[in-house]
Amino acid sequence: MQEVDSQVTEVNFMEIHAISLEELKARINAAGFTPDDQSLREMQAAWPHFQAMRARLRRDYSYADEPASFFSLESGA
Amino acid sequence: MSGELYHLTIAEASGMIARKELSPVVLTEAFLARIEAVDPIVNAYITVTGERALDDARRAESEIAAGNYKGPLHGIPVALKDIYDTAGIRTTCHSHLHVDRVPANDGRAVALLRDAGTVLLGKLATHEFSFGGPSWDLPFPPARNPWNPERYAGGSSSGSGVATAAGMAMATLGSDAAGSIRQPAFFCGITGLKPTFGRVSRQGVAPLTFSLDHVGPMTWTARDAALMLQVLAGYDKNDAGSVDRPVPDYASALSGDIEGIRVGLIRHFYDGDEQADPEMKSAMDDSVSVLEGLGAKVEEVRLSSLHDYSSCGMAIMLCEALAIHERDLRATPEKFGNVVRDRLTLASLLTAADYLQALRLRRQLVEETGEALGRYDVLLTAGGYGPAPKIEQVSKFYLLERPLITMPFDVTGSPTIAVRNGVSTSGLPLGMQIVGRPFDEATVLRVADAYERATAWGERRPPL
Repeated sequence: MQEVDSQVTEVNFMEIHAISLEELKARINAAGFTPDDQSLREMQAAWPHFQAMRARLRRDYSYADEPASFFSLESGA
Repeated sequence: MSGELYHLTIAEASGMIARKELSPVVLTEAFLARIEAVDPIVNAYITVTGERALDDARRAESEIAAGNYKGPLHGIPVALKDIYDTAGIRTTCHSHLHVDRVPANDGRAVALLRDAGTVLLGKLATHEFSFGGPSWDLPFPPARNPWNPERYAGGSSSGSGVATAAGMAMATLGSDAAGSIRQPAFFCGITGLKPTFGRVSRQGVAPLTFSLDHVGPMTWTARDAALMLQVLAGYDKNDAGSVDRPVPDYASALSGDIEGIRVGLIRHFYDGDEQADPEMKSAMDDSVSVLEGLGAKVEEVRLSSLHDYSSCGMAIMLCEALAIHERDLRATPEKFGNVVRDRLTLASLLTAADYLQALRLRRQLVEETGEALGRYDVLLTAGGYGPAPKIEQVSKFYLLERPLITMPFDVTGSPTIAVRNGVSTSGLPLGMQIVGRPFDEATVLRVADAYERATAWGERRPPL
């Protein structure tokens, strides 16, 4: 099997916890939204997956590891 | 060749039209009758433009009779995901927010199809704003799978997959930010091409995201996808993501010969990082055998985990989609369906740092996929984990619960085609993805076409 030299390192998922309905509601209210209880419960159930997604984004990046966003100075000239 | 006009491929019909053996008007009438008979079962269409279609067909017929044949799409009946702007025809995004919106102009892709002489049959169901579905609180019902209407059609280009499979359009346009062309192609058993990011203009297409959206054709065969791409591909200064690269002759690449083609099989995406159904794995093994029998050299290749690609793409998608819809979500949340509203509400808890970390990861993933494609002409993996689930069983947050096997190639922007490669014991389609180097759609199409010629999956049509 050919393996590509992956620069991506493993992620520690130990810090992913469930969230209480009250805390989730407070956070979402602070963001300016007021979902109903049914929606909150569905978001609460999705929370571990949401946090796992966020955890996978955190890597041992160096200062030189820049995001995949760029622009060309020539494109709008 | 099929016995029914509505099951002809573009390649078959265009030859007959060019030879004046088939009238575009007769062909269009066959499709309109098919839509009337079948669409109430599967809900593919939001708007059927019957009079417009017949006008287009009559115009095509008179142009061809006068010796002004425009090419393989002249007189071909097509339909559009209802996120493509169409002049004078409502473009709803399957949302209460845009239910009465009538654009003044055609989007770029729509204009290219119009100028090529196609016949517009209508506008097709989607997940709300290409994001929220299936959902039952929208102005139109969700599309249903033509192989079994109790099953999910895939999304977000649901109606496009259903209409193409069920003979309600000879070709359709979809869009793809996480798999929205390839997943419905997989579940509906058709061919769906996501071109390279920048290959086809997104101008006049309602965005889900800025950096993941791709637009492309959904057809019955890879050859038909090549004929569609030939018209759609090209630079557009009005799309900031458009890239000015030469457009090759795609159909001429379809030689049927893939002797010596190097294929990197990403098995761990469906047999490692996630576990596909045994019959999906078996279909992949059979597909590898077919490709090897055609002379391809297949080796396994290992990339980063599918979960890494999925997390990267999902974080970017959630942030960019929220940026696009934030104003409406705050002002009139009740006008969104509950699926879009709740997904975007949860997305509001992502931070700017989350978004930029995702973009840093994206650079690394693009680089490693590019490295793999330096060793192989194409990559190969499954199109999904198994056949379409029951439509009521699709969870609101399924995008987070299990990675989409289609997402990696939206993250990398790679040209990727979904091709049917089997049938489940439940009688539903299975499929695979073929991935190419940037702007090398020709090789992707060549491999897909050779595989389709060597197999008989395309002879089966939904039992409607």
